[in-house]
Amino acid sequence: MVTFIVRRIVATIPVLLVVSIVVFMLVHLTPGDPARVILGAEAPMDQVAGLREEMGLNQPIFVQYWQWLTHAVQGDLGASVFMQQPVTQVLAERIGPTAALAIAAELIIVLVAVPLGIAAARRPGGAMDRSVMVVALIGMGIPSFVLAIFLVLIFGVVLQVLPTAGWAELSDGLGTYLSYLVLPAVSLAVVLSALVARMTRGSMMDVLAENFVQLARSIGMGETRIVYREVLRNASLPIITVLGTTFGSLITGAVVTETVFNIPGIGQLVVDSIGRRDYPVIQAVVLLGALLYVGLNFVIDLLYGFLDPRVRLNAGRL
Amino acid sequence: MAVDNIFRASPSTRKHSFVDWVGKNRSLAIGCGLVIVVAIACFVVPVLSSADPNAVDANHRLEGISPEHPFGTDQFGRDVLSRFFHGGQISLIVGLSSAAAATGLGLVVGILAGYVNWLDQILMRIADGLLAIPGVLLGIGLMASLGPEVGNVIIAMAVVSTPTMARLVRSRVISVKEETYIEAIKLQHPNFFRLVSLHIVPNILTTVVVQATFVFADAVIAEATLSFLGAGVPPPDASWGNMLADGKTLLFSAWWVAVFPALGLVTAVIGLNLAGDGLRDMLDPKTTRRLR
Repeated sequence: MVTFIVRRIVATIPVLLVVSIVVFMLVHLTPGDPARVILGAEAPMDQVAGLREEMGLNQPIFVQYWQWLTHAVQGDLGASVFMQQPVTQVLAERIGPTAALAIAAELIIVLVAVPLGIAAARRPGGAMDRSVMVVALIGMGIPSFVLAIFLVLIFGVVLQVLPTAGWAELSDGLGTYLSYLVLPAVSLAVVLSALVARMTRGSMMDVLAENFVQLARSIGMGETRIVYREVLRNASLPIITVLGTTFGSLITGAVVTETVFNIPGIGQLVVDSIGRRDYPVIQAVVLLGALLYVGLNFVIDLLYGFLDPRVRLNAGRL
Repeated sequence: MAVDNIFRASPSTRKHSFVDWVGKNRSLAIGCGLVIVVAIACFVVPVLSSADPNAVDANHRLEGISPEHPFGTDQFGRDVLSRFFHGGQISLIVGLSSAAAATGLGLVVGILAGYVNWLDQILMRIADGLLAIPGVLLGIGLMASLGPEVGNVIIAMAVVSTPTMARLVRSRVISVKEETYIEAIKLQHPNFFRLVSLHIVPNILTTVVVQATFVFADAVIAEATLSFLGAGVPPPDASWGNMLADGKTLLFSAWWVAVFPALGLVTAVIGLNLAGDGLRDMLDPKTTRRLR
């Protein structure tokens, strides 16, 4: 198991290296002088020169990359050009609502999509199966922010039962908190539920077709026990994988969806930063998303190795 | 006599069953139908009408559905219907161009990686790195640094979608190049470009076309997402994404500004996904749908 973990860590290094180069280059892809672009065309020359100095733009690009990388590894991603605050601090202030939104959506997916997928797999071609497939199809065509717009129209404008903008903290009371959370979380969850339900269905059906299920039935084991204990356990690896990867999509989905609801999270920060050309903030958000993705995949790999001995044995041999 | 019958029957049965089969392949029929309807609406209707999608009319702001403005007007009094068509054009062109660019680049990179071992390592590590960055965030980052222009949206989306395509092409090339007939052709004509263009590419094309359809669908969504966040097609030009951004703030007073582009977007994307599913069933029954 230790060699397996070490191997997985080593495998992430080239990925992280490429990610760091791409994120670093985001500033330098700008046509023209980044400092001039940030300050605008009317800014005086000496101010631009000052910012160039501050951003280290006068040094050779490899030196710049090395300095940026060594600082980034130590958790220093520079300071926001606009807010005069360390970027990490800015992100820390804004991550709360985005993370809460993604976690709430993941909970909805686990509690709704996985059981739906299981139900669909038990009667292929049945009413449940067909409705799951139709919802899955629609879910794939509707981006979460578009669904969010429709939900705001229905529950905010027509029915007027839920708040459609803003955010509440838990200290404002659980009911208030949830009322602000439910619409964004649902619009995020529905789209990915479609994918998770389809994956769960496929994975369950693969296992249900195996011989041991026939055997279990023939020795008189109850259907509920077969499905929820034996089959689900064997089908769990692909389901866990898709849940893990959806969490990554949920975070980026949350970034977009929260702008519909004016939630003061990472998404709002990104939108503001694009307008202000606040490169360090955008770089940090892109980097954070990539780190999250790599980290999640690392955890999923470990889970695989942990749950299925064949995976870690093969990986050790290769 | 029996043999005679078989010979006579087979060609007509074949034709017949093919027509039958297209009829049965409902996803392809419905998907293509939806895409064609949306495309015709967006590309033909604006040619027939002379309405200017950017014409501001201060006296008719936020007006609801009426005979003159079937989709209402927005906060500047612009006609939502003609903006819907022009925005759809931009959205579809951006989606199609970035899918085409990603397909072309993905083919080149994937074939090189599949054939040249030392390049394979480098190219696939780069692809892994790019794939590790969530697509929307990479798109936002690229747009923030390149600047808000239609051409840049296409570049950004191509960069985001190329790694997936390259990986797919590479895996197909690796399996196709081991086939006996490729070995035989290699002996006959040792010219690499001839081999690739005449024998490898046609063999992997079905997989690539199916994937390109999905990339097209994803690119339409991505364009809408970027424009919605203000990092895509810059105003005043309409795209479904920036119309949604305008409409978002007007949901309580003028629902039509957001709802129509949303419906257009959803129709186009579902159509493309259905067409992709149907194409895959028709051309490439063995592969399973890709995971996003």
